Amino acid sequence: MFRNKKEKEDDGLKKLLRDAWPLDTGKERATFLQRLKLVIPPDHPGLLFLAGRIKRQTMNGYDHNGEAKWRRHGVFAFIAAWSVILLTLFLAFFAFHSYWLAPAPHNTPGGNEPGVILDNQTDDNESKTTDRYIYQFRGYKIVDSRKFTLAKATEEINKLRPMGMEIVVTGMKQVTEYFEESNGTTYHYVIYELEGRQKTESEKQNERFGVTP
Amino acid sequence: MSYPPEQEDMISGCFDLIFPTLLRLTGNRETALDLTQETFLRGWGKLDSFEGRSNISTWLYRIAVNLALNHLRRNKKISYTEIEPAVIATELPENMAEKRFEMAAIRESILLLPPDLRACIVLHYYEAKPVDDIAGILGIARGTAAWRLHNARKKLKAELRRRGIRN
Repeated sequence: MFRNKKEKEDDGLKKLLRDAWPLDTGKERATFLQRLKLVIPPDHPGLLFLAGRIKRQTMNGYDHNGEAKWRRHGVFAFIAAWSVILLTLFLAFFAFHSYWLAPAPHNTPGGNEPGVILDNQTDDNESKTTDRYIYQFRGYKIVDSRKFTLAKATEEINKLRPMGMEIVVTGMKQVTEYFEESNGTTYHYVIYELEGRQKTESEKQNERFGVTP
Repeated sequence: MSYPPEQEDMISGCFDLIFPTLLRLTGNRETALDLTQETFLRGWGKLDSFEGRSNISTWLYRIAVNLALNHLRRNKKISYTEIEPAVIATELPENMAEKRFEMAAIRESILLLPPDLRACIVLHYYEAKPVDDIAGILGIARGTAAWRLHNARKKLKAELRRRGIRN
C-alpha cells in the first residue's frame, strides 16, 4: 500500500511517541484484580453478563481491544475480496467459453463432419441472429435460405450432408415441416414458431404467390 | 477466593484497555489505578443502561476518559517527577542517559498539552483509534475530533521541536 508524505510523517510520530512511553502493567493488573474482588465477587451475575457481551463482540468481528478486525486486517480483506471477484469473473468466462464457444462434439478429433444449419431467419429477430453466430462458432456450416429458394437450400443441404451429419434448423414451424416432408428427415431442433408473431412482408409475398411455406 | 479463568481474562482485557490510556492521560500510576477501578465500578453501576448500540470498549473508554478529564480539570498541577520512572530505568542501560532524557522529554511534552488535546493524542497514537472512534469516546462531533487531533499534533510537534527532538 502506498502512503503519502503526511501519512509517513504520522507513522514516524506514532513510533516516536510509542517508543518514548513503553508500559509494563502486570503489577498494577494484579493489584487491580485483588482490589476488585473485594467489591465484585466472582460469579456475580453482572460479571457473567459483561463477559458474555465481550465474548459475543469478539466473535462478531471485534478483537480483544474492541477494534474491528477488518481494520487491522484491511489489506488481507482487500486481497481476499479481489480474489473472489477475479475468480468469479474467470469462472464466468470459462463457463461461457466452454458452453458457447467450444466446438460441437462431432467436430472434435475422431468425430463426424460438422453439422449444417439451415438459417431462414428474418431480419426482425435478433435472437435468431445470435443463434446463428453461436452455431458458426461451434463449427456448423450455414445454409442461408434467404439467399436461396427453399428448393435450392434443400439441394445445398443434401450436397453438404454426409452420413450421420447433424442438421439443425432454425426457423419457423412451416419451414421445418417443409424440409421434413421433402426430405423425409426428422431434424434435430425446431427453435422458432410463427404463432404469436406477425407475418413478415416476405411471408405475405410467399402466400400471395402460392410459394411454400 | 479468586475469579474463574474466563472472568479473570475478561477483567484483565478491560484493564488492559483502560489503564494504559488513563496512565498516559494522568501521568501517574496510582491515579490511573484509582481511576481504572472507578471506571469499572461506574461501568458496573451503569451496566443496565448499556444498550449495546456502541462497541463495549468505546463505552468503557468513554467512562474512563471522562473520569480522567474531570480529574485533570480538578487537579491542574501535575507532578512530572511521578511520570513513569520505573520502566525506563530498567529497560535502558546506564550509558543511554541521553536517550532516557529524550524519552522523558517526549512524555512531558504530551502531558503539557491541554487535557482535551492530550486525550486525542493518546487515543489516536497509543490506542490506534480512528477519528470516528475518538469522537464517540469524547462525545463530540467528528469534525471537532478531527480539528482537536490536528491542533494537538501541531502543538505537540512544536513542543518537540522546541526541545530539539525531531521525528
